[in-house]
Amino acid sequence: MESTFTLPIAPLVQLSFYLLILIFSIFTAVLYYHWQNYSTDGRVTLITYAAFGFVSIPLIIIMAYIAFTLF
Amino acid sequence: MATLFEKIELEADEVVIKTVRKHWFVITVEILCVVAVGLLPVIFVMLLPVFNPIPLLNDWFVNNLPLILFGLAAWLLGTTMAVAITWTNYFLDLWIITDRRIIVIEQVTFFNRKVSNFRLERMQDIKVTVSGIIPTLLNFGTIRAQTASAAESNFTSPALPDPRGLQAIIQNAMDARLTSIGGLAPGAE
Repeated sequence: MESTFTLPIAPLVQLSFYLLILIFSIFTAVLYYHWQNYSTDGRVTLITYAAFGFVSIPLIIIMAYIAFTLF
Repeated sequence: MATLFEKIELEADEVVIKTVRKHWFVITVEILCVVAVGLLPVIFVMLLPVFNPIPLLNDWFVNNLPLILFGLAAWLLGTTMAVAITWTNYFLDLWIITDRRIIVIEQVTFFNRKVSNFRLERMQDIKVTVSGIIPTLLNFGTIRAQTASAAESNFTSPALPDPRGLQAIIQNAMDARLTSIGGLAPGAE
């Protein structure tokens, strides 16, 4: 008798997405803390926040779109 | 520079002569390395349909494209975070030369920060090393300073821009400091 085991891919991808969001949120908080407390140049601090958001937020939107619509 | 004085406590009437960060070449190379590693899987996925080395692998990729795109986006997010760490460690490292001391701030990584003060009147020797083709061409090198305190009070900072210029600035500040407090400049009889 042959048994088959299939992984439910959609919940796994969604769970991975939530986990990544958690890691990203903690990382962003740590990054913000360091720049707020230790940066000596307000302009560079703003550029850093903008660049980080400009790259990371579209990636998160893409991941959310894939995780919740394509599976 | 307005926020410098809010973040670093200077003494009364202390004047900042110069603030220095590591040479731009250092951060450029570090970020390029992180980005290159980050882009490797993207390039691999883009080139796979072109070269098609294993047809079965190609079929698997086509059938699981959403999963692969999700993985690539996650990998690129990790790369973005790695670049942010590299940039933070670079920018939050700082050398501040004042008319009384040198403040060396070293951001090793997140939650690991060292701030050292070296009084100019206690400095004894400053050595500059420019070693290699790129450091020579781009004019950056290592500064080692010896103080009159214990050996652990000596400091070494690599990849500082214009190290000979910095050496001259520190030497002048040291001489001025010793004169102002009534001491004798090193080497003076």
